[in-house]
Amino acid sequence: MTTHKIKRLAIANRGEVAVRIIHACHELGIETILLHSEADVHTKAYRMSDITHCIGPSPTNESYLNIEANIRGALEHKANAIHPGFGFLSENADFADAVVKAGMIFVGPSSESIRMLGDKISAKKLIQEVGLPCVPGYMGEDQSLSRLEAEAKKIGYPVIVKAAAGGGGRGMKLIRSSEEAAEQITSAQREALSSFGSSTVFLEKYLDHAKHIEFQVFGDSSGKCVHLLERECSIQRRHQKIIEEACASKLSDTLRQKMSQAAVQLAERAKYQCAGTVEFLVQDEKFYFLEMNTRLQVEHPITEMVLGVDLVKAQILNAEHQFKIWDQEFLRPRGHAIECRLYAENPFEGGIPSTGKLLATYFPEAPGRRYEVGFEAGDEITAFYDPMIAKIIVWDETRQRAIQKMIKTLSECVVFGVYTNIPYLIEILKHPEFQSGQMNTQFINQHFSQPIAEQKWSEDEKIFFSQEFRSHKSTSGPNLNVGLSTKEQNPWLTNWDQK
Amino acid sequence: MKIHNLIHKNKKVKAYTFKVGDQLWAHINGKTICYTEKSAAQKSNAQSQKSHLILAPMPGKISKVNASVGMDVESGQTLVVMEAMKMEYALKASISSKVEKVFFKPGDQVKLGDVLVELKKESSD
Repeated sequence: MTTHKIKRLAIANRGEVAVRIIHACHELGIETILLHSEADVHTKAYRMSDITHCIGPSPTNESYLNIEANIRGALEHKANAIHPGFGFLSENADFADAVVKAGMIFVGPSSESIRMLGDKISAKKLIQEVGLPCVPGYMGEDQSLSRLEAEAKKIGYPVIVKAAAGGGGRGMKLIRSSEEAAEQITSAQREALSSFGSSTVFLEKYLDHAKHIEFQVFGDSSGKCVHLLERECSIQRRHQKIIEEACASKLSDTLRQKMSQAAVQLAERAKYQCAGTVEFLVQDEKFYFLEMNTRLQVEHPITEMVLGVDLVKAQILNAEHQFKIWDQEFLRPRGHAIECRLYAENPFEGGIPSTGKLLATYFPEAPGRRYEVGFEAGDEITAFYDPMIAKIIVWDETRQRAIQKMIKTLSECVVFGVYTNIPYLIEILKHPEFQSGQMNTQFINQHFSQPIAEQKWSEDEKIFFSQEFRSHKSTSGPNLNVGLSTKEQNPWLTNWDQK
Repeated sequence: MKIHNLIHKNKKVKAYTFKVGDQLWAHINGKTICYTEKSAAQKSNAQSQKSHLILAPMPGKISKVNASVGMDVESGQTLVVMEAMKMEYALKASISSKVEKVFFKPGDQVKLGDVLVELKKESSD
């Protein structure tokens, strides 16, 4: 019988990932402490967690980004370990240091790895040392406007200016021609300084028809690293992923071989431990390193579905040095998995966040469906955090079947109280370019940058709404045919009418 | 939530509804609606209540302001672009009117509900 070093784990995160971590802990017999903000008292994770501790007011910098408050909360309840989830402090090396210094285990890589790979410039240098291809660019110390303009010209437009201290799609500007170079560069430097505390920028060639392909890696405490294949995340809106798939349907075996090898090489070179993701852009059969994320990613479930693994349990067991890492040969994919991120937003108004109280939710079960849900009826979706309510994941034997299953699943999900992006997701899944698998990161810009057309309702559906609206009964029970005179034909019969 | 097992033109249709106040949320045939029936008077009253104000739908930063005092605007015209959570949102006029006041400029941080632009109120007859 294995005795766990970790008896109690504190979760420095929220929403559906906090629920995910609680599930893994409970299955391993580990007690959980949820470190939550004031607003997150009415959430699924709060209700599930053994212990809950409020770390501060709702704004993220006063709670989820407050290192001291998180450490204090964990120590107060005698946590042996902290799991940082993703986003927030998960890639903050100072936080990892603070956790260890306070005598707890940090469920993630070492602070050294985080530092090395977190700074986009030092990461790129490491890549070049390992001999991996990078997107052509300029990362020099000379940050003068004249030098940056000259380098941009050398790279060849279009060129992106990125904040060195940024990441995750933030702090980026596009230069389409030499005319706008000066303006975009100075604007990027200004924003970098105000958003990330450093005006240092670097330049990268803009790949205008690339696919975003990332490889999941995992390193154990002995320094051995394996890859868990790839995910394609080309469906992005302003660098925010919306739909992800495992595996990449149009990636050649040759490229897969080269890229997975490159990812493992990088992880081993960085002495990487725990879960991480190496992101690449692939264009015209060439791949380029983008960045490495030193944490669990939102889209990890699709990798779990095609490989039959549990990444969160692996993280926790690895943190206790009790993880026997998978054999690379064991990790062979079966079928195809797709994940859709369910956001509380109005797709008919261009994706404006929809806040409010959830009145009802229903995520119907069926073979090959998996839901990662953070909120239930009665919980409030606020404007303090990103409006992701849940993740919907499906698995089927082929990509085409998985797409059909996702469309069916999304059509059956019910969320009342806030608008969701379900209609938007369905339109994307039905689009011929998505179905062909040929889409690239420009897909949303080219086909879905405008609000989608309002839904059309049939006359009979309108009768149903009107009937229901006027029935004055808001409790569950059979639908009574009120509002229509007996002479009119009601197009809606209840099942109880059938004998 | 109310569950409806219905028959429509000989086919089984499942629907879900939730009624609260003057809103009926309904899900049927794979689509969701927030349905309401307001009297004509209620409708025009609701329109004129707040339609002359452009409010921040969430906390964020102002990226662009396409409105200046005295400017004529059409319903549907983008007046303010704001940024929050890696995304950009265009806030539009819901009535055709004239800009009376502009409260923020690009770069300003705003809170949920902040009044960003005030248009001349429609005269209700």
